[in-house]
Amino acid sequence: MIELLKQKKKRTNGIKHCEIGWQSKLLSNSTYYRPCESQVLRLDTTIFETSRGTRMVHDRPDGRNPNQLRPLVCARGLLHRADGSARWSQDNTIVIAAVYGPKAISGRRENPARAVLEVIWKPKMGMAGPSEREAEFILKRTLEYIVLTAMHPNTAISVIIQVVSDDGGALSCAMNAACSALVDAGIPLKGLIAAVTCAVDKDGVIYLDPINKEEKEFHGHACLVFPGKPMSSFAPAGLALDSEPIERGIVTSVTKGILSAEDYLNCLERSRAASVKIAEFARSSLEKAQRGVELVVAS
Amino acid sequence: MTEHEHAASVGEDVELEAFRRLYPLEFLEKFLKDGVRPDGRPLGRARSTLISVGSLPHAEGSAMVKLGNTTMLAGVKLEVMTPSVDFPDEGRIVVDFQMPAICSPHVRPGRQSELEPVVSEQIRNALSSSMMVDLRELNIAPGKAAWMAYLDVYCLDSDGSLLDAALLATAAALADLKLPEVAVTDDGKVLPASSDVQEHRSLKNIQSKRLKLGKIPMALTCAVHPKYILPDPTAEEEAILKTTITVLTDFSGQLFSLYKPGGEVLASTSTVQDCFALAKYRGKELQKIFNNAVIDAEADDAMVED
Repeated sequence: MIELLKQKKKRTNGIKHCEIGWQSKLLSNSTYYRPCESQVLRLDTTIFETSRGTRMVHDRPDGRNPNQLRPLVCARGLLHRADGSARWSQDNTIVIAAVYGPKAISGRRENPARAVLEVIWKPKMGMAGPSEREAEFILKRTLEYIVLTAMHPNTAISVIIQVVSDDGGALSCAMNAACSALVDAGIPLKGLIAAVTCAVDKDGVIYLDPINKEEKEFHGHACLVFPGKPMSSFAPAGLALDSEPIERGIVTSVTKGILSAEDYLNCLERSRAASVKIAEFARSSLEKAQRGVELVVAS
Repeated sequence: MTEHEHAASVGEDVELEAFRRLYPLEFLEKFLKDGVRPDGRPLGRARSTLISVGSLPHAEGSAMVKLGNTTMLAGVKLEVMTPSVDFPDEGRIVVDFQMPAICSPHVRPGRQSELEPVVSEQIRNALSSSMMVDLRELNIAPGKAAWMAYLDVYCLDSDGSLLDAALLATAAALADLKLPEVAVTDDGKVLPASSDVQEHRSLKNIQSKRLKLGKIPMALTCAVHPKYILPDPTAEEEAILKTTITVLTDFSGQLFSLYKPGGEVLASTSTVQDCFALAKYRGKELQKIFNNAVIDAEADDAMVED
């Protein structure tokens, strides 16, 4: 399937170049997205229970219920100089990811066995500090899980993350954007990943996809990344977890603040459920885009 | 012939060191199958841990931690600052973690190691979420003066589980920290306690004290293999397995944070729970070592004062 994507990608190149006019439109209007490559998803899950019996549930500033994600928008192929790019937004958190490569590198960093991944995180304003460096490290190690680096030895793949606006959950937003951008660049991947952030208050109530204000107020929050459900017919045996399907495994877990063991395990369950929805969204937006391309090519 | 069998048959012929370099994973797995680790420990045990407190004479608090070969040196220097308007009765702790080129062959002089910002962010996160130090303890005169503590952690030898050692050194240095005796004037000027009282009639003396510590954070890094969990990995094990989970708890085993930055192996819920259990066990072990080191230092203090 990956090879197929790559071929399709090549065919799309012609179209991309015709759309330079559309580029400027995008920059002037940040809410614009290409309809055939994007899709809006709203999750209206109302099932809700707390871990320690019935508890007061805080009203969320934007009127969501604790189990609700913000509307997701994913657009791909918007930077024509990059090999692949994606813009992923969760309401007011917007991240653009660009992928360059596989490209030649030389010197010490070159690895004869596999491609080298490098991640550059550009904050919304100012210089990148230690927290951005940490995010780069986490993102790099996470993407190493999905990228089949052994297929392009002696090369480098760079992923550049530009935070356009941050209203909470920028890390998980960047993970999703980077994953879509890698697909857009036609880099061979093992699968997709889906990242979710969730916050926990003092009573153990879990709020999915918190905004900045909630992240600060609440006890702790966690950014969790799960692999997407594999769709291929062959199951990579080495990846399966003992008695658990692959999509339940944790790729990355980064937490801030205090999370007790019980809260953490609850967070895991809740974000696993949400990650399934996000993975579905990412996959369907990807498939739609491929279909759109096919239509254009055919006509 | 599978790769594994091939590696095994070759293993008999080539010398041990060559086998170790050419087939690092197979080399490690051969040990793990027998329930030992390459350095001779049983699977679930951490390396021997040594804490010595008060090793730097010019720092207000210091500690040196050895975790196997991994060596960390932490020191706290104090400075007087004007507290911020929002928190007039709070001081500040600034954490800096450094990996000089001498600590590992993978760090090159003049270049920041990739791990430096990661570890320092984790220490900062651990200090703020455990609330180990109440920042109000660093207060001198509300709204006028407070202590600013510069906490520097240096890695002298990097042999895996950096955060575990760095956090232990941080905690021990803060436990060792002694705020000096000072005198404060009415307008918030801080003078050394020995200055002449006659000159400033409104001088108020503040006694020297140690910080009251809250819950003390600790970290346990576990390298994850699909079949085994190895607590407190060496640099070699970390490099071979490429996946680590770091559990941040206090000594009683109460979880603060679980940190898994990607990696090749997925963690299942049961892996996570196993790590919690390992951290709880390690917490008990560390608490003894930590308390002994700190109590020893305090006893030394008392002897000097007598």
